Amino acid sequence: MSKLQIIDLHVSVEGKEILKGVNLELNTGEFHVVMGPNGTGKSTLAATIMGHYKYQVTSGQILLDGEDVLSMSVDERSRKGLFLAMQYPSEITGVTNSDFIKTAMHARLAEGETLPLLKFIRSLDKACEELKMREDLPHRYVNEGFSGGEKKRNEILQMKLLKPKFAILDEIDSGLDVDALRIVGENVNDMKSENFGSLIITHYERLLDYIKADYVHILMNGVVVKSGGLELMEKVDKEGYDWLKEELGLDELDDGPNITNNILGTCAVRNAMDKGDK
Amino acid sequence: MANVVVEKVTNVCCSKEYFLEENEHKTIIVFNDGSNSCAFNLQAVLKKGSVLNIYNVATTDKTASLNETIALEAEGATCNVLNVLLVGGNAKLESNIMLLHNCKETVSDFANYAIAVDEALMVLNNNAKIVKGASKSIVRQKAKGLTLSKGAKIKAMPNLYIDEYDVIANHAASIGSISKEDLFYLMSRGLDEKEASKLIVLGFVQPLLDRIDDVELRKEISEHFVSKL
Repeated sequence: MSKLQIIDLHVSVEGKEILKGVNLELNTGEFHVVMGPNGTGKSTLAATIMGHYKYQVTSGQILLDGEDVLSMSVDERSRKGLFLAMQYPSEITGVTNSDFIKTAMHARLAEGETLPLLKFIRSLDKACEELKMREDLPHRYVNEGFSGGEKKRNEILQMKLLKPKFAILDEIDSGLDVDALRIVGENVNDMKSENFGSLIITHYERLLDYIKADYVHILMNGVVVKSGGLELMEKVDKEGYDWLKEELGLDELDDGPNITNNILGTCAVRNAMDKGDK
Repeated sequence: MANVVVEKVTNVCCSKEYFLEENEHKTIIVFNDGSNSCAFNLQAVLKKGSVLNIYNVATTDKTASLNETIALEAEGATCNVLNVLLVGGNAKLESNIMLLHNCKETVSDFANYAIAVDEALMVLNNNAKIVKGASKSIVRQKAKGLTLSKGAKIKAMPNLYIDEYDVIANHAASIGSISKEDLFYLMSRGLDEKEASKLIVLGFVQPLLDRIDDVELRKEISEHFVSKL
């Protein structure tokens, strides 16, 4: 069994504090759902765990089986067993999906160990079939020309083959039609074991028709304000977040006059940062 | 049946002319392996229903130029140009390509994958002209440039000269260093930075290699790129 601990995590983007002391603890064999209104830091949390370059951890810790994750490079985090299924995965021209996945699987092998080609092809074919993906997928360039749904399935395909200890799924349900949602949900659910746990970021209860979650956490204003079971998600789905704001005496958001962030959420934070880059 | 011509550019100056008859299909692979500083000039005329594929390949650290004019003279003529160019050292590599749509219902597709290293300069002067009356013609232009050092420069000029309303024409150009977001994506799957960068850069060459059937030539071109990156 493995353990992922997030302890009093504070994260800033370009000097603006997004996460203000997040505490979470996950064990393998558990599925944790993180919900919350737009712009409260859910995607920031996901990207920070994986080590995205735009997010600065100002204080706090992330530990994987007691090891300091924050001192690890992005690739090291992956090889140690962390995986991030991204909202907007990159398109890599000229790199076929099968070559990419094979290279990533090779990167996990001990020195001198090899990955038999036949074994790789069989496991790739099997995973593609389970995700009901197009047969030409291994020969297509990574995510290039993929539909939104295909990209999400491709993230799950990589997850299935790389077999992480913990997968962070950042809105893996967005852009999926009903059938694709079921396929993705069932595939994630099938991975649940004493060697695999997941942190699932979502806005909607519908994904949980297929994924059996154990815990639900509500993230607001950069902190986890409430944790509970599935009843918490059902209440949010029916009533939204207003009751919680009232219960906790929270203002709408305490980020001041930054209208972009307030209205459009984490995606907008990203866009705003991209604009800043230019 | 398509036929393939390989033009290995080794002389200081080399000029070629091609006339494609009705419905003729031809592929020309122009390969400058960097052994000389040279200028390559090509002129082609395409008749009705003919298809010309031109793959311009260069891996050079010597100043060189590619100068090509392709005239699509009759209905259904199609020209696909793929540039995969690598320049290094202090060299200047210039690509001057003009696609002339002189008749209605002609098609051109022009893609550029350009890599500049060291202090080198690459100039992509991409031109397509649709004359008046060449209706229902299609022009696509794309340029992707990768600068792998601070001193390396790529200039792209994606020019469209259009004198007819009823056409489809688009162009796009993006130039920069390796995308941090792409690197993050590959590294998040366990590839170290060096390996991730290599995959991204060699990915620029792969669309070309996918189109070359000749195993020996494909291997030779691939090795030239690998050795210079």
